[in-house]
Amino acid sequence: MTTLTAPPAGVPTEHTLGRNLPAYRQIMRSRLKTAATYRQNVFFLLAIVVVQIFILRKVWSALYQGQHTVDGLTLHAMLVYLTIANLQNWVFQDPTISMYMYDRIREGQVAFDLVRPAGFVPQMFAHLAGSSFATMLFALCALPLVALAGTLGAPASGSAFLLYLLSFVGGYVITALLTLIVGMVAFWTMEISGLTMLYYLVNQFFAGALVPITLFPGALRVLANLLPFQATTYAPVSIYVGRLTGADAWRAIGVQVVWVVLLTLCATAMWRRALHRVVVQGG
Amino acid sequence: MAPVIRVENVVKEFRKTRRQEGAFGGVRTLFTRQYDTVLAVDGVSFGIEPGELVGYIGPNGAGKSTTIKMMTGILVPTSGTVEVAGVVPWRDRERNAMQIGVVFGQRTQLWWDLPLIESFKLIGKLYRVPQPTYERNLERFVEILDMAEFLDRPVRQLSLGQRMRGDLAASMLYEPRILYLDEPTIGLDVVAKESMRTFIEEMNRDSGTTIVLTTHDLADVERLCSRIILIDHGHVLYDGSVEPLKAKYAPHRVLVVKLAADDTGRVPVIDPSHVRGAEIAEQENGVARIRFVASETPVHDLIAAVNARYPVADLSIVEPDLEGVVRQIYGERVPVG
Repeated sequence: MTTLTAPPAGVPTEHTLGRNLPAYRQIMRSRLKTAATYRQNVFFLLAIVVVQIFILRKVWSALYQGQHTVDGLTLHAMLVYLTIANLQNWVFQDPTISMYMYDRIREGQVAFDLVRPAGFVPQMFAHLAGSSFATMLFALCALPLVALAGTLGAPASGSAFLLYLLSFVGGYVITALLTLIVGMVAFWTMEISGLTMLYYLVNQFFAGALVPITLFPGALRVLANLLPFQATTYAPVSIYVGRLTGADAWRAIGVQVVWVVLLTLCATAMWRRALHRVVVQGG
Repeated sequence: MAPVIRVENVVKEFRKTRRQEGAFGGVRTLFTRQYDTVLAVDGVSFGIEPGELVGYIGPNGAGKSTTIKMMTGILVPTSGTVEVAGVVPWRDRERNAMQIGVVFGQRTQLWWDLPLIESFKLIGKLYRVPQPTYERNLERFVEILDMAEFLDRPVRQLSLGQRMRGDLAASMLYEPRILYLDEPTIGLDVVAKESMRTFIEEMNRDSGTTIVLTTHDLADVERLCSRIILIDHGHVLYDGSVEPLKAKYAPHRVLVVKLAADDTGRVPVIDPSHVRGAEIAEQENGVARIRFVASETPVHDLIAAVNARYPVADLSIVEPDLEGVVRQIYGERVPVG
């Protein structure tokens, strides 16, 4: 095995990224069109999150039992947190692309990705970005319905909103990397639906979409803080509702940056091994 | 001219995890590290000149697809080397990708859910094709492959023949120097096959594209290829033009003679001694099939000999086809392993 010396495809250098930008844009455009083709399905998925938001509102309203604040959050702020956290989490957690990767890998289409001038991982990232953009448009259209089922409110302040936007991008990139990593598991196992379901469950809980992680009991909270999921949802939405401000907010964004770096390294290493598996062992 | 594709002593071994038999076999398979080694390609070498159209043929499991995958950089050989237009395909994937087109008959590179034209647009961008070139090629391919009717239809709704035409067009939109076609006509009807063949022929003749074609349809090879490489059990059995292969493995031609009734109203039977240098393979209902070797027995002598003694109603000569040649070669091979 002396032959794998050059950087494998899919490890983009800055140079190739620029050259391939029009291709990535075209992938995103095509993804948007695909999403439009399957819009009925999106409305069903949207119904799930709207129902979930409604149930969470009822449960949490009952839990407050007239108390003014819990863990420094008013009921109104808590409901805004839950509504935005779930909606945002829904936009981020897009099963389309990990399924697409799984199908490509299982059916051997991935062979075509090896003879493309653009790498596999950046191509999949472009697919994901296009798909998420479509989901975001659907979510924006559904805002009135979401406001009815849950509680929408303005951000805590102007600076909170700006920091939220920054943190939103960080949270998105982390989720995207996790999605790619879960999708790439298909190189080693023949079936990923179980893993995907586990991932969604763990993610939803540890992202703080059902319960803000500051309310987790001791050991669970420590664990939640060590996992990347809190950085996808809890951090940005806490900034939005004013639960994290100033230095705390910046620290949360710093943690996001660390996760982006770590997960990028992880995805790259995984792709190298996957590529080795494909080209040396023949899949 | 220097070869544009150089394959040198290429070996590819696959290691497959050995399945454990018996109780909990599946679980034990997960935890043991025993392998079976399968030698798919065993020291294959050849060179292909620019502009050649080469048929790469062999039975199922001969190592054809494995070789093609190594030439495209999808697989890395266990040993040996491949160089395609100065590039080792798996070392410099981006440069390699820009100069090769690939069609796998069993798979598609088209975007399943979207109209065919969307896949073409994406290929154009992926390979950085300048807009005027893209438009010119698209227009030309739509015409040759007769795609106008289904250009706006989602790929999942296309018939196999339409989809393959789309795949073929996609692989040539960016004008690669080299085109690999792995069973491009598999499962196609006669019309779709003909359309594909015309396209392949034109790409080779007009654009000078070097083409490597694997197929089980030997009519593809006879129609398109000036040279064939025949492999089996991972070895090259034959490398050269089609004619000498036929001469070597199928030197016989057959003269088919239909006899008329003679003066007595009976249809005569040809006596073997009257056709020297040939043998009567079959004779039934007034039709005789006479086998002969063209290089030893001139066909006109044979016809004259028959004509002199028998009333002939009709004559025809059957040339050996590649199908028969290959069947004979595969039939002779000694099973290995």
